[in-house]
Formats: sequence, structure tokens, C-alpha cells
Amino acid sequence: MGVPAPDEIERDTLTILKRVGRPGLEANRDSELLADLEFDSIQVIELVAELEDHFNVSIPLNELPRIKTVGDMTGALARLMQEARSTG
Amino acid sequence: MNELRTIPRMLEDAARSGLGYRFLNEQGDERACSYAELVELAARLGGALRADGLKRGDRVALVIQDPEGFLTTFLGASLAGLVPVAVCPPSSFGAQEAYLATTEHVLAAAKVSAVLTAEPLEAALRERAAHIGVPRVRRWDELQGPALAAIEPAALTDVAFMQFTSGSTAQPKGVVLTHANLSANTSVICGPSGLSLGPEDFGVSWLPLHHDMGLIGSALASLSAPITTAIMPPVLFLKRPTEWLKAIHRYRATVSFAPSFAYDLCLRRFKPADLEQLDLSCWRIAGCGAEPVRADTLEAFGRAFAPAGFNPHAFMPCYGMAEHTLAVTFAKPGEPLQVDEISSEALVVRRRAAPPRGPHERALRIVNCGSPFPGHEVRIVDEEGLQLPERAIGQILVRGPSVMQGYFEQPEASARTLRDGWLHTGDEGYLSHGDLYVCGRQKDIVIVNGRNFYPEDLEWAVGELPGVRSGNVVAFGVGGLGNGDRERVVVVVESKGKLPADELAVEVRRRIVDSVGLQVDEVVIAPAGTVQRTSSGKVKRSQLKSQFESGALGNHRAPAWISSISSAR
Repeated sequence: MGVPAPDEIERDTLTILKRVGRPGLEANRDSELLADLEFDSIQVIELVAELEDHFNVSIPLNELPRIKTVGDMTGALARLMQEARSTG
Repeated sequence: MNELRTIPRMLEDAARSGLGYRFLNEQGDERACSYAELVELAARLGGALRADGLKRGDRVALVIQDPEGFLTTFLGASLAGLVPVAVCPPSSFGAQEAYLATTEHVLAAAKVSAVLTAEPLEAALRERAAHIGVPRVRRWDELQGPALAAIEPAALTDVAFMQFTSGSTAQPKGVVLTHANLSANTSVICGPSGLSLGPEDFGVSWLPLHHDMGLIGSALASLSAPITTAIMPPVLFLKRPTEWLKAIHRYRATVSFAPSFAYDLCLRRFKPADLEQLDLSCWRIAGCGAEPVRADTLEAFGRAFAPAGFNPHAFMPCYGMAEHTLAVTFAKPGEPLQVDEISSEALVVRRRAAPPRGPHERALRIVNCGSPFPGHEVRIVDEEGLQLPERAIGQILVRGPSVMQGYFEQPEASARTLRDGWLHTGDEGYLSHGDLYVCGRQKDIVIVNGRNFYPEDLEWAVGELPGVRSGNVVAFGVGGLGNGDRERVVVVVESKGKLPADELAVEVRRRIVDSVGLQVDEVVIAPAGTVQRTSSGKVKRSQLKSQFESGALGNHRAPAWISSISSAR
């Protein structure tokens, strides 16, 4: 299975954010998950689980401290999917 | 009570039982590790630590996420006569710098000789350790050396463990526990006045091992009993809460503990189809502690999971804290939840647990947390330290063999907390028929999703923002006790008046998220003079809190949720 294109990852991530996030807050690639989208520590993990299910990839906990924005998240997703494909 | 044992002795005894841990990793894959195998792994790790130049009594910090790594390292250090210090690993988005700054404070306060961690954190921790002169940062999975020739003989009075869950970031406090403390507490947890564990019991835990309830209540109690316990990383539960329940089902587990928020998370995230796959009738003890026990949450969980065979009498509310090793009281296993409905007016004004005056008064629902263990005492005192009668509300004091030795190198804080052998918990409650009901905290800690936050940390984070009158900030928690609602976090700042209030509020939220990773529920922008101080310069936090709750804080309109929390507090 191929890795989805970057804009496809971004589009799907934004759709999931709409579902999991706080209503009324518009997200884009520069939005910070905590500061702009007001995620709390539990919703953060819920979002990770949703993204894992959707993209069929595992996002290890130790990735999280380096992820601040939606763009960081989609970048990490693309890299993790690429790595999974080349080792799997 | 059983004879007291050191941790190495407990491990050696458990190794003869044929039982062990089942370690699950972040993906949920299982590795069975008998206590006999664990002794060997730990002896090798302990030997490597000694070969690295560490000496008996040296403190070593454990910053390890993986349960197998944490426990092997903890026990290895213990066999080698070292003192493990549990330190929280990072867990949130984008807060790497704030996390490392906090961790540096803890490592410095604990005066550790080594930091033991895993791959992704190693480089960042090495840089921080260098600032404060800690000579060794090692990956636990790379430690190599000859196994210990002999287990270092330990005395019951030796320090066995230090835990840094108390104190604010600026002043972290290390709880010092001896082998005797750990043994006394785990034996009452496992014994006939606690869980009455036998070899047929099976534990499941996802609780973090750097926290007392995970390490002592699950992992060490399992070793002490001994029973078999499956230990999963917290993130596995947080991602998919029903994985916890599925593990209980799969292992036919009998004992599992969690804070109220975890039961609530299961309620919010389970799907009806999950119920068909679950048989929870094996679950004999569903412990609930670590934060205020919310009766509404437990009752709702009981109803929702009854179709999956869950027995609501399995709920066992408990009360405990790191300063008391862990457990102070357990409710009686196998009995229905006992909830006391009391008047909030009587609680606040008359300091009595009395029934509400009528149907119009909103009752607080306080859960019975059970009676003290053999050899341990609980009493309630007023502000002068005088013992109070039953149903009078005051500070909870505890005495007995589980009380900590003190806070590490903090004689003043230790002397304030430990007086005549009595641990002054800072929590408030009352006794009724000898059972403890916990109804509040005198300490100012705010607990959100099981994590403790100190108001000082929030105040410090925003005190120097350009739009804020320097240092004129007060943070506090509201609600969350004795009813179904969670605790809310409020921050009051005095504005310099240069920025529009809504813009300043956004900045305040953002700064707190960046520095402590917490979402504030309400930011109040107040005029100069709102924040009152005592003669010694401390902010009058409780005064502002009651002003906020009564809607008397300037022209600020109380948020809608204020009406859903207790009326008189």
C-alpha cells in the first residue's frame, strides 16, 4: 500500500480534527493543537488514536513532545507511514 | 500484619511462587516475565549500575515510559543497594522544553548520581544533566556488566525509594520511604483488611509507574502478595480506554484500580458493541482513588457495564497519598457504594456533616472511603490541632508505619507536615462510624484528569506577561468534589489596561498551555487592586476563590458551569 500524498494527509487530518476538537474552532496547518485548538491532555491522546485508526499507522508516545501544530502532526504521520512501509 | 521485608527479600520470595508480570508494550503485545526471570534481569542490571561506579545509597533517577524497563531498572537498583527516584516521563504535545525544565529542577533537588532513561529522551536529558552536574545519563536497555555477585544486604530502615509527586515546579518535594514503609503498606493492601489477595487473583494495571498508585498499589503489591499482574503503558489505555476492560476480560482479572476520570473516560468512549465482547463478572475489586471519588461517575459506570456482567459491589473507593507510602483507607470490598448526602451550607459554615435542610438545598455526595488499616490511625482535627468528634469536619491526620520519613533535605516542610508522628495530610474530611469521608483539600492543588497542578506554577507562568500587572495573578480550582462534575481551573489576572480583555485572556491561556500543558477553564481579567495579599505578601487565594464563586469578582459574569457545582463553596 502506498503512502497518501501530503495534501491528502492534511485534508483527512483536518476532517478528523473537526470531529474530535472543540466545536467552532477552525483549524489549519499552522494551528497549534493546545494553544489554538484548546485540546486538553486526554483529547490529545484521543486525537492520536483516531489518526492511528484512520491512517493505519502507530504514533509512538515519544513523538508527541515534538508535535506542536497541525503541520507537525501531518509531517510526523507522513514520516511514520513512510518508515512503516519501508520496514514492513 | 505480616513480618516486614526489604524489597530485595520480597522479590526473592516472589521468585519462588512461579508467578510474575505480563508486560504489554505500546502496541499491546504481551511478554510474560516470571518473578524468577525478573530477579536475574534485575541482578544483571544492578551489576551494571555498580560497575558504572555507583555506590550503595546513591540515588538514581528513572525516566522510563516502558513498564518492563521501569520495573527491571527499579528492582535492579534496589538489589544493588541504590535508591531509585521515580520521575515523570513526558506525555504531552509540543511541551518538550517546559517538560525538560521541570525535570531539571527535580533531578537537581533529588541530587541523583545517574539518570536512567530510554532512547528518544537520552540526548535531551544529557544536556540538562550536564547543567546541574549529574555525571551519568544512561539508556537502561544498554546497561551491560557482570551480574551482581550477591544482593546488597539492606536494612528495613534503609531508604528504599524516593517519589517526586509533591511540590510545585520551583520547589519539588521528594517523599522519602524506607523498605519498612513499603513493606508495611503493601502488606496491608494485600492482607485480610485490604484486598485479601490469594494466588488465584490476577491484577491488571495501566497506571503510570512513576506514580504511587501504579508502582506501589499495583506493581509492588503484586510482588508482595504475590499474584500475577498484567501491566500496560498508560497510553494504551488513554488511546483506547476499552483496552483496559478488554484486558480484564481476557485475563479474567480480579483486581484493577483507577482514578474516577478513567471510569468516566470509559463511559464516554465505549461503544455498545463493546459490551457484547466483554464479560467483566470476574472483576472482584474495582478500586477507585488518587483523586476525589465521584459517586455519580461510578454509579453511571456500574449501570452502563452491568450488561457486561460488571458487579457494582466491586467498586472499592480508597484514600491515600505518596506521603503515606500509598494507601490510608480502603472501603470494604464486595459491599455497595456508601454515599453520604450532606448539606453544603453545614459543611462550609458549621463545619459539620449534616443532612440537607430540605429538597431545595443541593446536597454534596461524599463517598465512604473505609476505615484505617491495623496498626494505622486516622483522626480529624480542627485548626488548633484538637481532635474533633464524629461528623465534625477538619483536617485528616494519619499515623503509623506507612508514614514517610520526610521530604528529602527539606527539614522545614517535613516538620510542618510531620508532627508527633502524625502526618498532616492537608486534606479535609470527617469520620462516621469509624469510616473516613474525604470532602476537600486544604492544599491548593488542582487535579485535572488525574494530574496534579500547583497554582504557583500557573501564576508564575503568566505573572510577567506584558499585559499583566506584574505578579498580580491568582489561580485556583473550583468544584470537582462531592458531585459529578469535574474540577475547573480559574485564573484571575490584573490587567495593565493596555490590551483588550479578550486578547489578554487568549495570551494567558496560551502561556499556561505552553508552560504547564493545562487548559484553563476561565480567565478573569480584573482591574488593579483585585488581588489581595496577606501581611507576609502571599496572595489570598481562598478569598478570591469564594468571591469568584459568589459572582462578586468585579464586573465579571460567572460562567454557566458555575451553577452546576456546589452552591455554597
